[in-house]
Amino acid sequence: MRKQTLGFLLVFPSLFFVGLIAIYPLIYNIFISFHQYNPLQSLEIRFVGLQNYQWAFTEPLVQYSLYVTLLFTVASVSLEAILGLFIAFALAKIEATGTMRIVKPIFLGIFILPWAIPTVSAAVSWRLIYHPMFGFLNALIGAQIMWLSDYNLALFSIIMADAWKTMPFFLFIFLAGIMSIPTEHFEAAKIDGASDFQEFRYIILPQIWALVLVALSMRAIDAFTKIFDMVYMLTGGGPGITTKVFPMLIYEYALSYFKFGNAATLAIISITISLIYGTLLLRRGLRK
Amino acid sequence: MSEPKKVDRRKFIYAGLGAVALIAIGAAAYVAMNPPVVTQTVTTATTATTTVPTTVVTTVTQPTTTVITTKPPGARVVRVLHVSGPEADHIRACQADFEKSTGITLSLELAPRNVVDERMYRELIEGLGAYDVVMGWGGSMYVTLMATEGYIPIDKFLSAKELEPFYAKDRYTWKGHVVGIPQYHNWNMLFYRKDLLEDPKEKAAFKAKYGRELTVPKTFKELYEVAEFFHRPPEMYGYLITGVNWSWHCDNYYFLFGMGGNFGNIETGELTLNTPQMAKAWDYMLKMIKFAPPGWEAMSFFDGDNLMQQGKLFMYNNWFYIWKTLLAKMGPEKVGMAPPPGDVQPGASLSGWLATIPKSAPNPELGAEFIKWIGSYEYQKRHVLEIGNMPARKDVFDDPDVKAKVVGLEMFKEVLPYAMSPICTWYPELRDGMYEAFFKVVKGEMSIESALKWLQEEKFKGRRAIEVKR
Repeated sequence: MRKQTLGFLLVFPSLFFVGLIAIYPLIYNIFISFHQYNPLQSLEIRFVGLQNYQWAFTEPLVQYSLYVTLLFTVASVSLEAILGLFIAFALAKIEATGTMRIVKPIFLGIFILPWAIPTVSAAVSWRLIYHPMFGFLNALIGAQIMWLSDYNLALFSIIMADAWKTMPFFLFIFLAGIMSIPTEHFEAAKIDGASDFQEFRYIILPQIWALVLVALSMRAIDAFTKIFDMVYMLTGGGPGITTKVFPMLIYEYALSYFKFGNAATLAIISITISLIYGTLLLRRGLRK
Repeated sequence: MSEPKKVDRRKFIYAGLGAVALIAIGAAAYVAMNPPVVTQTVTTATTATTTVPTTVVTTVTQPTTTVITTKPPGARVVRVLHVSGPEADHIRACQADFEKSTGITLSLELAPRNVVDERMYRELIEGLGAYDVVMGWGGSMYVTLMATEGYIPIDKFLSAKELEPFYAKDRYTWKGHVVGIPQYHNWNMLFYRKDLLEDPKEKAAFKAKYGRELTVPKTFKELYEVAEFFHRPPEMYGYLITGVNWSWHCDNYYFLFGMGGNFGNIETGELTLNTPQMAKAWDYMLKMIKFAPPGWEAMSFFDGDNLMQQGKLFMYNNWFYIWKTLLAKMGPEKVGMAPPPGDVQPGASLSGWLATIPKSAPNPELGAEFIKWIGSYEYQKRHVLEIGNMPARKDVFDDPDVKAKVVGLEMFKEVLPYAMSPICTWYPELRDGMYEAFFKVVKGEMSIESALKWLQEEKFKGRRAIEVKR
């Protein structure tokens, strides 16, 4: 009993500060979402009940933005995970052969680079790569494709740039997972005549599955709630509203229109979606 | 010793999370359902305190006055908020002059452009009281911030005679009072390939095709024809309409103001989106897209700067910050500048960092001293010569040194009287709505008429251009 009290007392300061910086803003956000506060118009904080939520569920721009963000999240996270898994597997195989000991650190350095570069710098580089007239990509394929200004391509171009930027997150998590599998498993599989694919399917995947789920859920929440800088720099949400992702919409309502009630409502919707998604995915992972 | 009870870790975590969520929801619901009646305190110019009772207001916490006391005892310090950039750097460079001439210490605080609006609102709307002078009102914010009336008009400190030399005062005058003094003026001009426009062969070919002389375009019809004539892709594109949101809205200004229109009526406060001027402006903008380089939808005026210097663009409209660079990189024989075209008047949009004293300023008198210095002949002249912006004073335009150094000064003078600012107190929201509608027209999802009707009657139904309740 004394131990429990001591334990509680020891963690209380941390809990207090976490509560202060995480719980209070959340409560205030929920509070504001039931109010109208638009300082450009008036300093009154007026209680409006569920009006902001009604607005959010009926405003076509909000619905479209949610759709775009979900599409982005699913596509970019899937692409990043598949690429990360594939490259991690390839690097592990190279490691197993023992022939690339000198080259391996170079490979790892190259792969960590996109993750280490600030997103804004990466976005500027991708903007140049995608440039319709002077861009590297169009020069490479010998065509004049409007990567960022074609309504059907703009989101895809952002997904590609984001996948390049974030793929190392998966790569290094998966690589660490693969490297932690005891070598005996692979040796046994080799004696049994297992192919590379079978090794991957029956040894690697089951053993790193929990890692895959955790990484996927974390990255999906991150992509859904935080995709902003890449879009802001590449297309600014355009052309038109084609790539207007949800965090950008929240930003606009909060810090461009100064309609804090609407912005808080959108933020709550965003938090709720990612919370539901994250909980479901984690629970599934834990059950496994 | 008794064995401690084993608790299922998962259950423990879920119970904890559930409790936190319940507390959060409960607290939010309690606060939402029991709005306390409070009062807001507004500090006025004369430092008297007015208490305004409110009924439906909940918790507006007026920030208390903050004075940072880094000054030595007895020193007078003026605290100024400005936007990061060359103009703020210039004040920093001249700081010693100010301090020497006034005996006031200058504390200049800079904020990046993307956060300065919020900082200004904190001062001018919420009355934070951290600064004596707030600078950084761009043209699109003139009406918004003037309407909030969170400043002490500068004419409380400067006499009519002292204010007389300032240009375009009506643009920053609200309810008969001059709100502040701009550090400089800024607006857009038309930049074009002078060598090609003056080429006799081109002139002859143009005359043969259009039956008139090839001249710098003054109307939108002329703009269209000249752009069409010089549109020779992929070597050169006739004109650049920009597609990135924050840049597109500048093009929108140019065409609308050139048609003599605006977004609202300052007298009646009405929102004027579905108007013949707006329809004509959009019609020309859509026509001009034909001559834009591929990928214009993701381009800004900065791309225009590069394309111009690379010889890929015949002409474009831009803020005149680029004039010095174009002259230096391309040479005066190759690049020209002209007033922006317009059917009713030159389509120019006014900007420039307006310096104002917030009502909550701790030392308004010191703020006034600083603004007087910013508006002085000496500072204004130095700013023009060193930075290249246009002065806020008429008399500086006539200064011999300025006349000798600034290329195209007469043209600048010609345009300034027409430069306008958007009339709308919630312009960023309006801008984004218009951008959305414009691209629906570009995509063919709407006609211009239906897009403007949608904006006026659906998207912004019931809204007014001036929406300030104070």
